[in-house]
Amino acid sequence: MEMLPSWITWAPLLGVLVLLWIPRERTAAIRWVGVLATLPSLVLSLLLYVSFDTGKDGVQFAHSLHWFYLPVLGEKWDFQYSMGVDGLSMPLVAITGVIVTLAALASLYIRQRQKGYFLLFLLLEVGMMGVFLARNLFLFFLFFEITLVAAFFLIGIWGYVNREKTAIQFLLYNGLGSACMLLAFMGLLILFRSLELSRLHEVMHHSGALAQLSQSGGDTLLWGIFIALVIAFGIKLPIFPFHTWMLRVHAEAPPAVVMIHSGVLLKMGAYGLIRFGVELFPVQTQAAAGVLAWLGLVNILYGAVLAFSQRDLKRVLAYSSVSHMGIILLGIASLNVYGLQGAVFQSVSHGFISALLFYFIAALYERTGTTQIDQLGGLAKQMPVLSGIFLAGGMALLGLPGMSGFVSEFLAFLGLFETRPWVAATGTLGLILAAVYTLRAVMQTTFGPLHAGRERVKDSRWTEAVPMLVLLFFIVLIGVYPDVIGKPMQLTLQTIISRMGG
Amino acid sequence: MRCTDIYIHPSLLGQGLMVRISFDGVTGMEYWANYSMTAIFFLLGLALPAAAFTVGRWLRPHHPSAAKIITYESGVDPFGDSRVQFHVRYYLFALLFVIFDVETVFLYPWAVAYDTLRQDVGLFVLVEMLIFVLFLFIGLIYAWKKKVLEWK
Amino acid sequence: MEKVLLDYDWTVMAPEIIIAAAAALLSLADLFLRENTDRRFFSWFSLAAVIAAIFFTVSRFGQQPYEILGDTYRVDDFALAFKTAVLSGVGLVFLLSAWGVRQEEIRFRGEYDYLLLAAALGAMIMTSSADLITLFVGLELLSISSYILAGIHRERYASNEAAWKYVVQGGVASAFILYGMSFVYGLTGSTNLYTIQQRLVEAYQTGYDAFVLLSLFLMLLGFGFKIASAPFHMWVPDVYQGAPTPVTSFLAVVSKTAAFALVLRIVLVGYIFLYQMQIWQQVVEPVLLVLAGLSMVIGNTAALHQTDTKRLLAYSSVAHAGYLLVPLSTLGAVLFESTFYYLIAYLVMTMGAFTVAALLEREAGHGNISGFAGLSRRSPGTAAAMTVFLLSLAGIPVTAGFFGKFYILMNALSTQHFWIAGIMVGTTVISYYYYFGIIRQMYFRPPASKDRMRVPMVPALLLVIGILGTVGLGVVPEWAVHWIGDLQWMSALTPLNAGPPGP
Repeated sequence: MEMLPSWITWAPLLGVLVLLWIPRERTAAIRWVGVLATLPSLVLSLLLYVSFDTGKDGVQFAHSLHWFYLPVLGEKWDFQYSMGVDGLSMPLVAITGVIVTLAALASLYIRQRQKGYFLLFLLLEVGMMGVFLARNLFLFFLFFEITLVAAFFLIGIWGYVNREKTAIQFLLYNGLGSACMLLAFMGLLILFRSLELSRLHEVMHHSGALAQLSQSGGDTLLWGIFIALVIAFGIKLPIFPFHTWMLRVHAEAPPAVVMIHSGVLLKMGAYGLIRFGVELFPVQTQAAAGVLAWLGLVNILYGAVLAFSQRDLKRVLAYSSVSHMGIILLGIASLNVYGLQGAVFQSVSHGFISALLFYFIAALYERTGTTQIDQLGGLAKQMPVLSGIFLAGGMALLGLPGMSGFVSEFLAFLGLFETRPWVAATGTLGLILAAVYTLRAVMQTTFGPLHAGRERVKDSRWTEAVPMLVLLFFIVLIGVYPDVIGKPMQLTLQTIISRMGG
Repeated sequence: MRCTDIYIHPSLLGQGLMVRISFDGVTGMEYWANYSMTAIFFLLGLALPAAAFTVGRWLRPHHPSAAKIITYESGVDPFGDSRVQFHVRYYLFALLFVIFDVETVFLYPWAVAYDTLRQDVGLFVLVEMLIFVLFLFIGLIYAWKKKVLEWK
Repeated sequence: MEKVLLDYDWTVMAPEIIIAAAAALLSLADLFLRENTDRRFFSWFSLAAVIAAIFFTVSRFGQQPYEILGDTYRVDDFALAFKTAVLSGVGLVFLLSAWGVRQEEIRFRGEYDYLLLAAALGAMIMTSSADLITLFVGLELLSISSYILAGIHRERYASNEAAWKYVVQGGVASAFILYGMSFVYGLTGSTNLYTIQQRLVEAYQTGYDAFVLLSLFLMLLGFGFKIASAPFHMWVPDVYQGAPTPVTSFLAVVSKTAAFALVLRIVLVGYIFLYQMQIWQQVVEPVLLVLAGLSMVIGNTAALHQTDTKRLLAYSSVAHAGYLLVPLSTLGAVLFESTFYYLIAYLVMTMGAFTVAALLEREAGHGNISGFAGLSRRSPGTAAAMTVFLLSLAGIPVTAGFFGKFYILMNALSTQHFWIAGIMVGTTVISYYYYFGIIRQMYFRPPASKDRMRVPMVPALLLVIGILGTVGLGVVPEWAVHWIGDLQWMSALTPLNAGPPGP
């Protein structure tokens, strides 16, 4: 039971082993093994969720094994394999489990080289789970890079026309981010001789240690590390000037991968900002909160305005992702419990919503062969169920009360209104714009006259409808009962904030 | 006699390292003095041929004739161009020559000092030279098998 | 009383003696065998000799350092470690040549093997001597053998060009090294590095500071050539491309390791006093760091538009030389450990990459990167192996290459050289482009022919060794790190009679 985080992370490898034994011609078997292989992680992460003690602060299910020593100047720097889960990572682990399984179902649209696809897909899951569950920065970095490489292949082999360019752009941008992260982590290692998260916490919140550090001129170094970290996770999130790669990925990657990319991978940026920014560098975050807030604002408005003028449904959603990631930034910049909660809520909620919407797009593309808005229209008649799901997803995206989007945006803005009312007020403009571009997209695809040649389009099969409905269920669940994810993270976030004050 | 201690900062080079250094110094002028020999030889090398030619010119009678001013080539009448191409075979001979030449250069002083060396070191002196000769011998075999010794 | 020849324990030289004897034997055997006899067993014989030499080298670990004839031959942990690395590299090269060099292609199959042994002998001497003359002899033995090896494809134009460029530029580099050494001798009157260590300080303090630095920089110029760092890298692409692939891998792996052993020993023993006088920080370090930075930038950007696999790997080799210069120039906390670790990592991943390159060269008949197209369909195993090597070269976890870079970065950061660390990670990201370019060929492009590619036993074995090394060193770095950390690296810097290193 204590080892649960490790089991969750490594369970997909079981599927990898099985897959390696199946000859690549047997596609049906490969597909089913691929889907089934995601189940152990899902079940275990739900188990983790159920047995997670919401009344306890700090890391649970922590376990660490000795990995290796690095002898430096007669000392031995200890590198541990440590895993664990706390209130911040708990919700993200849970949605990763859910979205991965559903994305595996959506991968049934993959028509070629299924074996390689599912191998990499499962590897990607290992990486994502590891990122959220690792409690050692070195380990975190390893998992982070695994996601990078696996996603590179998934985009480059199974994407659309410009897949190669997209893959390489994805790789270079994120490689740059990883490079910054590596430098930052190494800086921490040099300063504190450990990359153990718990150890770093101790030191970074120990006023004596910090005073000593700033006496010996370590302040600039700390700032450097902080900035490097913000850039690293800012690229991943993505923050405004670094977002171009992400648009491409949204447009070119296979839909199942976009579900994961938009649903989970982007959230690694948010997770990193909170975990390593807010939690580890309270002083620096406080000083930089203003900048973060402005960046968030830019993200929101820029994304929303551009989403409004896109002709491709995928691009609309891509820009809306930029806009919604801005809300996460605003939540973080508010530096109070509400704001942070809003940020995490937004990560989870947007994960579900974008997964749902891209699932829909996969189904749509399967039927019509296009995602251009002006070539669609009137689909509600032909496929009422799918259109209904799309509409519901759209409502969630624009933040309709009763759905998850509303809760998260509400919390994030509530937090920010306390500290920076003007920024928050301007930011709400983004919400209005969100309603505009979402409704425009939904209307023009589902209503109006039916586009010529679409008369034979069929509605969803149950293998498609069920996963979408599951996603919708979670969206509504969070909307009406936010405590499902609010409760686990409550204490953790409170601790983070209280440390910041003190 | 001077003595300098170097302490290399322990944090920078692993285990704390201390190299104690003591030596007799070479002072400034002495250094250049060492090179004065070279300079003298250089100057001598320049001066000697110049002097030889000049003095010879003063001493010898000067009555040129057609036969006298032709290029001297070991008493034979010179023929052909002054730039002569040798057959590449000669280079192989030159290389081969090196084997024996080097051998002699080393063997000669060794043979002269053999008795003294043997008293100091023992039979190893002989073994050592045998190893050396053996390697040169391999070279000779190489040349032989590669048909360098045949004139074709 | 002065020690004479027989007072020394000559058994410590066992590895060198074995290699020298094997080379001599093979040269004789080659002469007396009939011309059309298959000489492939030469490689196996050489491999056996190399393994025996490794055995004797490894069995000396943990014993007291020992020297012969005034440090002209010297075994300490530094020498042993580098010698082990060099010999392992040579062993792998022989394994590759046993399969990859055919008599039909190279008429001088016999020469090929014993020249390789002679080059290995030179490399071994470079690792275990503390006398300028012996070191230089080792260097020349390595270089001259390599010149011939680079041109051993006598019928191929590219091979000739490679040998020619290599000879000329290598000769110039050797001349610079000698010139620098002659200054050292002039200043100190000795070729023994430890005597030099003592007397250079004095020379420096008595007004010959310019000459001391001149000697260092002249030698560094030559060394820069030997380790293939920019801006002395012009020969690298042509020679790597033109030489037969096993020879190229030898140049990349063995030559580089031996050259680094040489550089570390000469510079650290002879010139470390500059650190104490702050001169290192002011003059030497910036120069070395600029060399390192230039190598990284030039190597990684020039590699971007290469279409030939070996040429690409050549530029990557330049870049790696840049990374490897960082610990030396910063004199960081884990100088020896990180340099050595990186060299081992470089050894396994590069040998693996060259094995695949050789396989494809034979398969496709050319060395162009397009030969990789669709490899994942034709031979998934080979493609996966190449991916591992490329990921490692690009420094992506969980591979040896990543950990090596991590280790090297620790030097730069612990001594607060952030800009070189920045250049290093920045250029590493640039390098993703061309390393992943090969991966793109293998996985994203359709194959030229549908039939599966057969991988013979020997290269398959090499690939397995490469993968085990690359992944093993990355996942469980402790195996290597522990062993490397326990070695008495400092013993290389201190003369034997000075007693054990101070506290």
